[in-house]
Amino acid sequence: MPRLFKMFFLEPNDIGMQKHSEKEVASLMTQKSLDRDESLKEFAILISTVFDEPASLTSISSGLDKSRR
Amino acid sequence: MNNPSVQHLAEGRNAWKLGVVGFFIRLKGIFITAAITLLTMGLPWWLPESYTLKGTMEINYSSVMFGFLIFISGLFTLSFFYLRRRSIRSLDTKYYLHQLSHDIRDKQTDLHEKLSQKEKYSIGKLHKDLEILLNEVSENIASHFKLLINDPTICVAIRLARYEKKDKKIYYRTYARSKGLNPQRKRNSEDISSSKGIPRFLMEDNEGQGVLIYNNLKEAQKNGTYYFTKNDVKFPDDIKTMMVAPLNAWSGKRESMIGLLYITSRESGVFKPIHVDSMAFSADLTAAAVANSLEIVKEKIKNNSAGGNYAKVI
Repeated sequence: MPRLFKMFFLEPNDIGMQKHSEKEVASLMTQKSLDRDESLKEFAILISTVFDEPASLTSISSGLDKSRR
Repeated sequence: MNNPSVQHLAEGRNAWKLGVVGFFIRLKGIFITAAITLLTMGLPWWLPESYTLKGTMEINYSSVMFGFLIFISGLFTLSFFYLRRRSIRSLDTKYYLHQLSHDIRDKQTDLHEKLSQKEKYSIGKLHKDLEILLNEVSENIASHFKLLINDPTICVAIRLARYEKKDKKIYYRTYARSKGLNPQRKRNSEDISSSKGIPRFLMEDNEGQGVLIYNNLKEAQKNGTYYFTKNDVKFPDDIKTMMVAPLNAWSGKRESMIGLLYITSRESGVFKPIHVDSMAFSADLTAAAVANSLEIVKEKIKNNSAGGNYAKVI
């Protein structure tokens, strides 16, 4: 019955849309030390520096209350 | 057929072929339906071959015409109402798409203006500017998806990579949430490690175009495809299903996964393969917005130290 069902009603795997199955996703989510990405580290340091500093007032110009340019 | 707890999908252009509706609009389905209809046209064996009407029957022509016209005009009126709803929804989704790119452009123009003024710019001001940018982006994406999916419980969250000095590791922290999620989430928010769970999986997905669709978070936790955070335990009704996409952009020397975009819903069965490309589009735009804003600041600092016209920044 499932085979007959699959003949007519396609799933993401049948059209090449699915990249990894549930099992593969689970195996790729376990703890693993990844290769060092110095560029990402630099970015992450910048983000920590900026967001750890208390926010100070700036001229708030939100697009939501601005007229179209 | 039950959906798996999590799906890792890319490129939704062919998603129209999926499922029952997909069968009926594929050429194969159209031909099979037409063939079955033609073959079974003479089959209703319970109908007598002919009717013989005895006596006379008077039909009020004007009543029949009146009923027929009421029926046809009713159908037209309903279809116009349907068309009106579709048109308004379609234009509204486009409006929020424009709003998204418009706000990003405005914020970057503001940054250029502020950095070229004589007043000193500061890290605190950059913090506030990035916070506003991230909040505007998350609100616009949420509004777009609420209309696209027709689900008012859609919410958006953005995590960005940050460096933890204590253990010298990279974590992803939530820096923006659209309205609709429990406001207490900020207090219990938990950073997620880059070496396991969603970040590790998406980082190792080298093509970086995949989107994760979680159809059942509890089941995903059981089978190891999702790690619950404090907020998942504390606010189980806040998020029932969600999509997660990587924010891949320039991180200074190369392209990296600088963050994660979450689109969540309180309802089940909301996110489908047809939403994959819209999700990827939103993630790419968000990633470019964040990365470019930081690059603008870095460039201005460089120009300033080289004796450029820009005022003293950070």
